Amino acid sequence: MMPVPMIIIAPILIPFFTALACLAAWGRRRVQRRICILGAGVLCLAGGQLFITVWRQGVVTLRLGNWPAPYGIILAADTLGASLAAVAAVIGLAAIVSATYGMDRRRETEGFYAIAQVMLMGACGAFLTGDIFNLYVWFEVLLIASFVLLSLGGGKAQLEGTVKYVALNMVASAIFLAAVGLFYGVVGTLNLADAAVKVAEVNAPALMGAIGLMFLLAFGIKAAIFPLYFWLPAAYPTPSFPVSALFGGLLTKVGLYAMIRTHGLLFIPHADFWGPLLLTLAGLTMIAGMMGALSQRGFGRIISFNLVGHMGYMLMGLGLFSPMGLAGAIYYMAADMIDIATLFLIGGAVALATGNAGGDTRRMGGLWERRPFLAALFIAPAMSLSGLPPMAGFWGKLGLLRAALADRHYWIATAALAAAFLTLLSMARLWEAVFWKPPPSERHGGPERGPERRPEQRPEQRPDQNIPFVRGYAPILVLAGLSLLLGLLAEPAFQVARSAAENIIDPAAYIRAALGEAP
Amino acid sequence: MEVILSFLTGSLYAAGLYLMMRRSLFKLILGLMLMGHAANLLLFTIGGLKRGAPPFIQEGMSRLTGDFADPLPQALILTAIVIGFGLNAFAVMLIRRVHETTGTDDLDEMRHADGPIR
Repeated sequence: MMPVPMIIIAPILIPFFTALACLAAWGRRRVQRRICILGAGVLCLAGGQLFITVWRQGVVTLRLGNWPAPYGIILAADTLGASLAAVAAVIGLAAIVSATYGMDRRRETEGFYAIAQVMLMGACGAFLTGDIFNLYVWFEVLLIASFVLLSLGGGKAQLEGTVKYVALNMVASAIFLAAVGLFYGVVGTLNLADAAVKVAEVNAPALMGAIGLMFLLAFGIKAAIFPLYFWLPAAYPTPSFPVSALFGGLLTKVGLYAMIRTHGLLFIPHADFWGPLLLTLAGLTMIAGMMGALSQRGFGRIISFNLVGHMGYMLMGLGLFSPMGLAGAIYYMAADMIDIATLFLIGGAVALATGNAGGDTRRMGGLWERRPFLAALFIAPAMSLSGLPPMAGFWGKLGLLRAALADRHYWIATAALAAAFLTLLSMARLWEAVFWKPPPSERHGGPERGPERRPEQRPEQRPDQNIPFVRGYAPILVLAGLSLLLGLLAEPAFQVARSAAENIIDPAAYIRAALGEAP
Repeated sequence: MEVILSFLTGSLYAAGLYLMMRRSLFKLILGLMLMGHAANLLLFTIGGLKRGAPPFIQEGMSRLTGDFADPLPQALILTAIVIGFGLNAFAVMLIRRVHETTGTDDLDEMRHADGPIR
C-alpha cells in the first residue's frame, strides 16, 4: 500500500495552528503579524506541493481516523480542489500582507490575523473535503470567520452590512442543512464519491430535483448568483479593504466550487432541466451584475457588482457541462479570484492615496500623476476582468464562448460577450474617474454633483497617506503578475483546468480513489 | 410519530419565515433560530424513527443485522446544534452592537450600507 500522503491535510492544519499561535499572541501586533505572514507563506508552499502531488499521482485521499471509505469522513483532493486551495493560499497571503499597512491598529490587534487564518482553513477544508456534511461544516467555519471579519471594528454601515450578510447566510445554512438531511434520507450516504455511484440507482426524479434545487438555493446565496446577489454589494465594500479582498477572492468562489462539485457529480448528469436553468441564471447574473456596476460610483461597490456579474461566467461553464465549458469555468474561477482580490487591494491603496475612505470616485482623480505605479498596476486586473488578451480573463472567456458556440447556445454566448463589453466599459470609467480625470482641486467649481458629506463617513485616514512600497505594492504586484502569468501560460493552465473538468464529468477516477478500491 | 414531527417541522419553518419577514431585528434573529431548529428536526425525522432498536452489534456477530435506528442523522444533528449555538450567540451579540450603534431595531432604517459610498 502506498504511504498515505499527509500533504492533503496540511492546508487545513497549517492555518489552524497559525490561528492558535495568533490567539496566543493576543494584543501583540508585531508578533501576530510575523506569525500570520509566516503561516500564510507556509500555506502557499503546502498548497503548491499538494497541487504538484495531485498532478503527478492523480486524486489523493485521506481517510480521517482510518475509517473505511463510505462510513468515515474522507478528504479527497483532485486537480480542481488542489489548484483552488493553492490559489486561495496566495490570495490569503496577499491580503494578510496588505493588512499590515491598510488596517487600523485596533482591528489589527483585535483578531484580524487569527480570524483570517480560520477563514483560510475553512476555504481549504471546503476545497479538499469529500463528504457533503463535512462540506457543510467547512462552510460554517468560513461563515463564522467571515461574520467576525465583516463586523470587526464596526462602524454604522459596516454593522448594517453585516446584519444583511448574517441573516442571508444563516438562511442559506439552514437550507443547506435541510438539503443534506433530505439527500441522506433519499440516497443513504454522505460521501460524495459513494453518492455519485448511488444517485444513479435512485429512481425519484422529482425528489432529487427538489433536493438539487435546495442545494442550488443554498450555494446560490453564497455564490451571489441572480436573483440572490443583493446582499453582496451591501456587505463586501464595508470592512477594511484586506478583508474585502479576502472575501472577494474566496467566499463566493467557494460557493461556486461547491456547486460544481455537488451538482456536477450528483444532479446535472441525471436530469435534463439543469442545463437551461443554470444557463438562464448565468445570463441574468452577468447582465444584472454588470448593469449594477455601471450604476455605481463607489470604488468598492463597482468591484462588488463586477464580482457578481462575473460569477455568471463560472455558472455558465457549469450549465454547459461540456469538458471545454467546465474547463473554461474552472480556469476562469482561478483568474477571477486573483483579479477581484487585486482590484479590492488597489481600491484600498487608492482610498489611502486620496484620503477618501468612502471610496467615492466622484471625489477622486489625477492619481495617474501622483501614483503612476499604482495606475499601471490597475491595468492588469482591469484588462483581465474585461477579457483582453494576453491576460487570464481573456482565455477563460474564450474557452467558455467556444464551448457555448460548440453546443449552439447562441444567446448565452451573446450575453457573455455583452457582459464582457460592459465590464470593459465599467473598468474604463473607473480608470477615468480615479486615475485620468483632473484631481478635484483642479476642477472648476469644485466636485460637480458632489455628494453631501455624511458625518459618519469621515475619512479614517489622513489624505495622501504614503503607501509603503514593499508591503503596499508587493501583494498587488504578485497577484497582478500571477494573473499575467496565468494568461501567458494559458496552454498548460488550460490543460490543468481541462483535466479538472474531465474529472468532474467522468468521476470514475475520483470515485475509485475516494472509495479506496485498487486503482 | 413521523406525521406529527412533519407538521411540527412545517410549523417551525412557517413561524421562522413569518418572523423573518417582520421589520424588527430581534424577530429576525428569532426567526433564524426557528429555521435552524426546523432543519434539525427535519434531519431527525428523515433519518427514520425507530424505537427500541439501538445500533449495537449482537454478541457473537460481526456486523449489524435486522432493523436498527440509524445513528448518523443524530450525529449530524448534534454537530448542527453545536454550530447553530455558535452562530446564534454571534447573531445575538451582533444585534446588540447594531442596536447600540444605530439606535434602532427597524431593519428598514438600516440603509447606510446601500448609499452611494465605497
